Amino acid sequence: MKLGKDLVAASTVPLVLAILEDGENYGYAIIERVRHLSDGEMEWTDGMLYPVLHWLEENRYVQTRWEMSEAGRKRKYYSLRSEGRKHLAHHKTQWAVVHETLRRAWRRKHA
Amino acid sequence: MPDLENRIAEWRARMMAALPQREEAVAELEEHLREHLAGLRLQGKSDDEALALAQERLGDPQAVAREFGRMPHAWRPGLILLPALGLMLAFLLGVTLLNWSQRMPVTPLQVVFHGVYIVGYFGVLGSGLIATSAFVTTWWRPLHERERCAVRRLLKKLTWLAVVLLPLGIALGIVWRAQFLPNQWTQWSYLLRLVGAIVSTALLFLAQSRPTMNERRVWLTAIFASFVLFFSAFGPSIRLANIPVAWLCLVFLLGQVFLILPRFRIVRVR
Repeated sequence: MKLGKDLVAASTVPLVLAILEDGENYGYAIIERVRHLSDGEMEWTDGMLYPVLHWLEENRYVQTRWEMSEAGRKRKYYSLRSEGRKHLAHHKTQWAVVHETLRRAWRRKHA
Repeated sequence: MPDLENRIAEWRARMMAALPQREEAVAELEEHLREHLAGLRLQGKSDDEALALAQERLGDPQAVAREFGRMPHAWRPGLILLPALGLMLAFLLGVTLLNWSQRMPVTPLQVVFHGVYIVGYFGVLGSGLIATSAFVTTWWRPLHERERCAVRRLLKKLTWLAVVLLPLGIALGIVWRAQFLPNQWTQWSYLLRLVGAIVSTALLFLAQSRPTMNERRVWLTAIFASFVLFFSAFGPSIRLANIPVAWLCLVFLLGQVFLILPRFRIVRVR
């Protein structure tokens, strides 16, 4: 299913933060995790993830470190900071409100 | 797989052209590309197919650059600090030459020696200033990637300026002084200052030339180098609670040496 651009854009930050809430991770693995969580329904353009990750870093929601990967190349790992956790909690509240409102609206229509 | 490596290098060049000042991001994207490529090849895809798919998934470099373009504006440390330092040193040069002109005729060699020396000086002091501002900034927020790249580039240029012009200025100075101070070689304090300046600049260059060296160590090396040169040049005019300035310069020089040693790490505990 091809999701709308605006919907994908709006959900990127909360998704990335939620994945990082589980633990430290890096770009490629985050993309694969999104694909797995959505059963393949959400297909991001991989390169678009990195501006978001850098935006999160510059706004101090995540912190980063470089480490050698198994293939012998340097890989950048991201982990959640306390400000990032607060930002994620804020997103969760907002999405819960949207989800509940839509659920009620659609249930009423189809009742 | 030289062909594959060449094509990845071409892709990297296109990405670098689309994302100047974002070397780290391009390195990350390349790592992503390679990992995806490896996965596709394990699935049985050929090199050509795997590379095409991986590049398509990453997206067009211009599109990625547009997304990065929404990032906040980078801090430019050299925009104010370096011109201010340059003006100050130019003023100092003017005053020095004016001072000398009242005692003896100013020769072209004297002007060239002072000019070259001051520019080399600018290189070291400028590095110290930029490194200090980077260091101070990181105490209240991390530097953005573009800012780190800007600092790294500035430090490299200033170090090269210092490494080339400072020894040249010193050599010209020795030739000039030989004309009226034939026994300058017996003035050990003068020689010590020269040696200290050259050693400090060399250590700064060594720190800069190591790409794997921790950024904060490079910055501290630059700061210490600027202290060594500052105190060696202005030390005799400064009174610091009767501490001989030579000892101060030695402390900073040793500090630089320790920073360059591979096992010495600066870790900020948050």
